[in-house]
Amino acid sequence: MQKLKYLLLTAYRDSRRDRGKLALFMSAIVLGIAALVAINSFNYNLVKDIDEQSKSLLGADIVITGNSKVPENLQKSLDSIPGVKASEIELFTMSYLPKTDESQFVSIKAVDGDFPFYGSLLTEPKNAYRSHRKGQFILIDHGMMLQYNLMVGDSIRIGGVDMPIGGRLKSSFGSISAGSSFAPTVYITPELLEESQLIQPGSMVDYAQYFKVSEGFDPDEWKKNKRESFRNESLRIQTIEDQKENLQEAFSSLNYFLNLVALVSLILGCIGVASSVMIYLKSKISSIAIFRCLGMKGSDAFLIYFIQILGLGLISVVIGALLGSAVQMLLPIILKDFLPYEVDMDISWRAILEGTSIGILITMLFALVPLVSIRNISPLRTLRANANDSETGRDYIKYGVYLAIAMSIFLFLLQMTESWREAVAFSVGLLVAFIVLFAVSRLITWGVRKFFPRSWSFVFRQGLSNLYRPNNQTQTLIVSIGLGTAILTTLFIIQGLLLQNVGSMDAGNQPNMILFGIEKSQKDELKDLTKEFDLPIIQQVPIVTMKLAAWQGKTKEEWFADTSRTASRWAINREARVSFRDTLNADEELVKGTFTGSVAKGDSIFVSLADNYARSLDVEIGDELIWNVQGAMITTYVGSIRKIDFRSMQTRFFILFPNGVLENAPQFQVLVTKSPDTETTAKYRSAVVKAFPNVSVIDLGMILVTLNDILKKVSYIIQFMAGFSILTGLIVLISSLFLSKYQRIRESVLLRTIGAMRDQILKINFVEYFLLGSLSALTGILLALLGSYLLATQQLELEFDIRWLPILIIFIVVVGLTVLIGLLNSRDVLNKAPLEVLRKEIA
Amino acid sequence: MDKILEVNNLTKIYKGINKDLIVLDDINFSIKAGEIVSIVGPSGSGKTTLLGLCAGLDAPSDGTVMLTGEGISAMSENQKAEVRNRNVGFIFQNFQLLPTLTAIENVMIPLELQGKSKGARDIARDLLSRVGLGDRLTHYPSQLSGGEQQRVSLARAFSNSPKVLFADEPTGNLDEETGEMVEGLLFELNKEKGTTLIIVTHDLELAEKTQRVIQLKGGRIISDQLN
Repeated sequence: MQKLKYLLLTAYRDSRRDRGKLALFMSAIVLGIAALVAINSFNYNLVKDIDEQSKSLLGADIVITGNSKVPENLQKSLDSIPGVKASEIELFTMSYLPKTDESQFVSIKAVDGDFPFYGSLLTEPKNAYRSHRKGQFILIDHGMMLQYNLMVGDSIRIGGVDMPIGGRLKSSFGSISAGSSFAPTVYITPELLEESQLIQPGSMVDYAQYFKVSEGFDPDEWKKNKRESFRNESLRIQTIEDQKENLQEAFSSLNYFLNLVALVSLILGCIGVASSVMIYLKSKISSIAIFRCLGMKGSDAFLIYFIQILGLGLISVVIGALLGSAVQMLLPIILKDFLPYEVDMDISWRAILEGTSIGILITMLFALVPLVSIRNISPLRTLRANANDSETGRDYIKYGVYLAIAMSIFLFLLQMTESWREAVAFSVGLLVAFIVLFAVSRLITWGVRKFFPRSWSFVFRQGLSNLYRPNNQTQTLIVSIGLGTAILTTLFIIQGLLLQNVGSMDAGNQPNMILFGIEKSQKDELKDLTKEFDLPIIQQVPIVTMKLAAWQGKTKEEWFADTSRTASRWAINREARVSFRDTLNADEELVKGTFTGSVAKGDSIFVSLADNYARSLDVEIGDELIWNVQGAMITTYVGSIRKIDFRSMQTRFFILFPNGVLENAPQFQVLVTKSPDTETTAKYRSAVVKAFPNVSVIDLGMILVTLNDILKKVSYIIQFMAGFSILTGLIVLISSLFLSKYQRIRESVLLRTIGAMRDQILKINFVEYFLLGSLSALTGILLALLGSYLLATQQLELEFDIRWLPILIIFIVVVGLTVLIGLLNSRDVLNKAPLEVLRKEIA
Repeated sequence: MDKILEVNNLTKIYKGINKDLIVLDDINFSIKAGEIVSIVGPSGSGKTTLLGLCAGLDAPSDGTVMLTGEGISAMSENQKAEVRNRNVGFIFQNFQLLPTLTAIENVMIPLELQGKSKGARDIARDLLSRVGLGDRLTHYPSQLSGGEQQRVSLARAFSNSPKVLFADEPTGNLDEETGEMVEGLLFELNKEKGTTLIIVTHDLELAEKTQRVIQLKGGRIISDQLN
């Protein structure tokens, strides 16, 4: 007890005049922990709110959805659910706005019954939803009303029927995706829907039934029993539990990215911790030698500094947790456009507890790397400043610390990714980066010594030789700056790739308008209208809907009863939208079999399947497939398998028939074109909607604008969060370079003393820091390229295509800052008398 | 106990790349309790290395050192630290005060290391007054002159009432006048406390003031005589 008191007192006394030196150490922890706490708090609040709001977001206990009506036998089972019922038809179609002579693609919802049972639809006027269902008027999305300057009382035309607007829609059910921004919701009554005659073959219709169950009825238990039979008919059952899971899943990629930022900040913070503690201890070596000389045990000297670091670490962790909690209040403001509801931001004690405990554990482990060396500082240093510290062979404690660091990072990664594979991959990646940087630093010291340019100028030789002479900082700086650069560059490359991959969809001569729901009789007229607008007809394809009835000699029902079935349910059940033509498109590549373009009457029909569809159905070339084409059975064989480039903006078909089979089947047409500008698009759309009310025009340009908007916001979030990492990275850089101050100052002062000019010292330092900065940055960037390539191709499935300009900027910034801070380090030497500096820095 | 320090066949060799460097070669001598001894010799003769080995700051390549009756050569670092704390005091050429501690705190350290926190402040205050720094107790080393710093160092060296005091060029960094004052204080305090004093110095005038002079050259003792 007495000893502990003494150690605490000495730790306090010793730190009294030097706490400022630990400012870097504290900043590194504060930023790392702030990022961790902010991100975790946000995630926990989001999950808590998901739990609380799932009920009102779903609006019912059970929801059945599908793109076809529920068959009679299943409807009976639905009708037996005790409680209240409502139903909804959702349809995507075009609307015409007579007020502005414009058109808009909308999602129409017609509700029959008392839905929503939980929560409420926000409207203006407040009771508009209830009153709209009694009368003949509609509710329109608030955003769309603002966009087209529509007022309550105006009308819009849907399917040839003028419908008066009765109110603004401020919220909608189930709209957690950004899709609603290019297809705004319009609530109409079932009567109006029928009058508009919009439900026709080829229409994109979804049916929903809502149930509020009676007390004592368990929706999840019911779902468990019925799921199979509903799935067989491509019908989906959703309960409040599912809604929670869906919401959590919807936010999982956001979580993934935010966690990545937290990890980067934490690791950079840890490098900052290790190097700043190293700087601090360098300034303490003589004090430690005196303590040891006066009879202090090595372990006690270690404990004194351990206590100091622990104390300041704890303070920093608390400040970091407070800062993180404050920042999390900002996150919902930044992310508000992505959230389906307002997230209540409470203080998350769990996040704070986790952040502080992980923070203090990892901080102390990283601080231990330089701290354990204290035990070996020789008391002989009091007599000779350059005495060697006692080497007691292998320091197993040090190895233990390294092992504990590796374990803790791995466990942190495991907790974050919840996947052994990813945790191992990330840990190995970090280890490889560390080893490569270490090897590069060794190679540089060896290479410079071996191939030293003896004939070069004094200044250059002096700067260059600093890379290998005793007390060189090559290893420390290359590893810390290199690792920092690698981690930050990876983050930037991945950010760039994410934005670039989506942006490329709008590039070049891609079509930007798709018209669908065209009846066979309208085909030629629409073609003429399109030509009148001088728009190219890039594609005009017929679509026939059909369902798979049997394959490989067994019917669908027989297959479902077969437990050895390998075909995926989605591939069997989907309502296939099939086209027919005699050639392959440019975005299609034949990978197996022979493509048959046309077939004579009575011959075997060979169809072409997309590779992923063939895989899901587990069929091969020659297998028999029987289709139910709206009542008529057609037997076909797999003739070829195609690979399709899904990035092109064209209609794509899993199943392609040859010409000569489906020409007379009930069908609708799709037309793909490209509009040169938004003005033409608007005019063309209006003309189409006026002439063909049943035809829908999807403006891909508009979708891309919306996507770009979203991406801009995503990019803003990425930059905001990456800000943490940049700040921590800067601290790593500053602390790494401060380390070097102690190495170089004595030499610079001596050179000054024997008459070196200010410029010469500056140039020597410039050469050394420029070489260190550029070699570290270069190695870091090369590692980042490798790391981000693996991350992009293996984890995120992005196309890897690098933009070099931002990387060049990173290189210049890292090298520039290294040189700048390095030169600032030597300003004392340049501006003051040598003796003054010697007294202050060395005595 | 008669002999407080006994050095037998002491050798220190530094391993070189091509050739080993013999810094001390088979040194033998002993010092009685209460004796005042100076070790002199030119630069590179091995004086400071010998002091380091005698005080247990370094380990010999061969031979033994018995300090206050304990064989310190075979001891672990921690055991040697304990012996130093109990029995040894130090004065260094460059003072070696802890820059972050005040004068009084610097003097208290050896006592506090022994767990004698109670009363340590009073002892330190008395010693600092004894060396004429009673009014500078809470000053930091950087706020003191070289002579003042060495006087704090003197007070610290005597604070744990050591049996042996090792002084490495105690006046080497001071001007003549201040040096003489520090010398005077050193001998006075030593007389008062009855400590064994071993001084390593270049200064032959200072060496003459000691009872016995051991002269080193090239790592060997070339003379050992009483004044």
